[in-house]
Amino acid sequence: MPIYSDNDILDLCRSSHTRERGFRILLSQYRERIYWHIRRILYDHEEANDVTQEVFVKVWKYLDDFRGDSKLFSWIYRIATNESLNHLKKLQRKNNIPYDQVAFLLESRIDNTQIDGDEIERKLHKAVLQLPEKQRLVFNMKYFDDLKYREIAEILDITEGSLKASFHYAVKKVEDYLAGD
Amino acid sequence: MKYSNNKSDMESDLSNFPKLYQLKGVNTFTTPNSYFDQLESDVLNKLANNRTTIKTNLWRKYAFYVAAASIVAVVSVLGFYLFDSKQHQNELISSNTEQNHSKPKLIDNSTANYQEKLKTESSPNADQIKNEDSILNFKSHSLVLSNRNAIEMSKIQIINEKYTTVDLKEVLTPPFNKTSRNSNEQNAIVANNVNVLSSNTNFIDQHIGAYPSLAKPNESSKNRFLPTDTCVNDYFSYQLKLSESELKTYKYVWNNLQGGNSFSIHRSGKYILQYFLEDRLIGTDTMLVSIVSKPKPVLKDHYEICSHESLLLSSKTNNPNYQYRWSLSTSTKSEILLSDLEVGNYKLILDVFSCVDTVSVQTFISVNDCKLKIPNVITPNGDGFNDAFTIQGIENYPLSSLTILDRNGKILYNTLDYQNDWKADNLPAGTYFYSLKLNDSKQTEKGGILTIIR
Repeated sequence: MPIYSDNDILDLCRSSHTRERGFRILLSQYRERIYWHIRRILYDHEEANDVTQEVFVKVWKYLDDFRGDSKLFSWIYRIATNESLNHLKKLQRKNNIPYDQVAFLLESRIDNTQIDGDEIERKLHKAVLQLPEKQRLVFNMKYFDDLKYREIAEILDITEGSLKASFHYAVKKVEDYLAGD
Repeated sequence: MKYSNNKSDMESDLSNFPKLYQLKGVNTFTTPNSYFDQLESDVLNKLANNRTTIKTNLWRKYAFYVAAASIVAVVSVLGFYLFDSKQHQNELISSNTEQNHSKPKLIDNSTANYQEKLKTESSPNADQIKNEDSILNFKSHSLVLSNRNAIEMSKIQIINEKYTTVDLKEVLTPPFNKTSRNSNEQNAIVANNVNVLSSNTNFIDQHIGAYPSLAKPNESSKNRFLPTDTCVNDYFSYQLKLSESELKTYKYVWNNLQGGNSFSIHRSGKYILQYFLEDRLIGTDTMLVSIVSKPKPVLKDHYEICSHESLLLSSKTNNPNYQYRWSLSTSTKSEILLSDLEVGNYKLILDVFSCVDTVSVQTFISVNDCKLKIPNVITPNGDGFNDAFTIQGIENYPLSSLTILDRNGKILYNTLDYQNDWKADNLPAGTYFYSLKLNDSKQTEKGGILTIIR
């Protein structure tokens, strides 16, 4: 399957005849990236699966409203980010805990969830959980997803400068956590 | 600290962090096998459920008529009968659904009758039953079953035609995948059972096309010892009631190797009884049994969402033999996505129908107006009142960005995720502007004047 550019996909989606085809291409090109992005926020496969499906349903639904003043790529990532954070909020509401305590909830998943890795890998994820929400997002997208600073800046709508700073803080904190006992 | 724009320089970014450098690229999470293919079809399914419900319904009707037509080609009288029976089925189900909250027993009765009959039938010949009601119910069972099979078969036939017309709306409606798989399973069961007696050519007819014809009323009435086709919700025991003389006269062979005149039926399938007189085959009874377990839909008692959010409700049941009806949606699938609900409280009732059971669950949905209240003045003097620029309801829109500008358009404050914490530190009293970008699906922007009084 050839790689389609975002513009190709959008062109296909604009015409009602090729819309479904465009969406299928979009789906196949983005499904894995978006899933992993969400999984690294929620950890749990089932929940990540639900949210991923939700994201693509929304993408389909609001494709007409997509104005093209941001990139398709960052738009989808932003929806995924919002949906994931919304999901965390719902978890928090459901479990009746303060929002900043959601990390504790998630931490238990690292021990329980389907992680293949050894102790050090669990520790890595726990370290990431210590980060403030925004830094955690930045760290995930940079360290795990290998997105470019420019791309992350578009997704989160912040400047590259502050982004690099926050990534650096995040890296340092995580490294310190890993080095400690 | 020097930063690099280049992704490949990521490693040099990490050069001072040996642990992270070492762990780079390790993926610790796993997904089920071929999860991503499944994901794609799940999403497409969901869209199909939401967008083409009506189309699907029409298409089902169409499928039925094609089914009827194809059967007409084989036996014209039978085709007419099926049409008739389709209406029967509709009546049966609709009358049931109308009353299902007050009288959920309507269909249950028929099962009871049926099972009772299975046990107490004194004459082996089903046609001799004098109880009009139970005969009627019997028929209903067989009709339901036959129609389902007819439709399923025709769906498979239609798939190819559908794809050749390349109607994209229809391509996005993939229920036939499930159907064909289901039919294959059915087929496998039949084949399994039939193989037992594969030495006898009478039983090799294992093509699925044999299903609808089995429901022919004259065919089922041919059964001397077995009741007609049936659909029940649990396994049941069945006993052949034979007179002593019959026991002596005939020799019986079941297709599932269970001999004797009683056995219990634990799984759906085609049950065949052959009876021999002096080693000569003189008759065959056939009974199709569908065991469809009682639906157990699960909904939470209460859901709470904001009016800009959508809500995915799943009945947590997934059985192709079930039918679903949602009170707030026209969808007939096991899951629905509710969106654009007006503010208010809703009661949602889900009815799940199987061949004999109707199970209703209900839930309450509160759709809250998560409107924002944005102040136009703040007094950051530390008295505990209006000290910060507090936007009520912003917590419903995480990751909403806020920008504060002065009258010259200079940006004084900018955040990606506003947490109601801006207190106009070190700013003189005066007039300012705010611009709030909500992270809802439409990325709504709001702006206005903010006066700071000290």
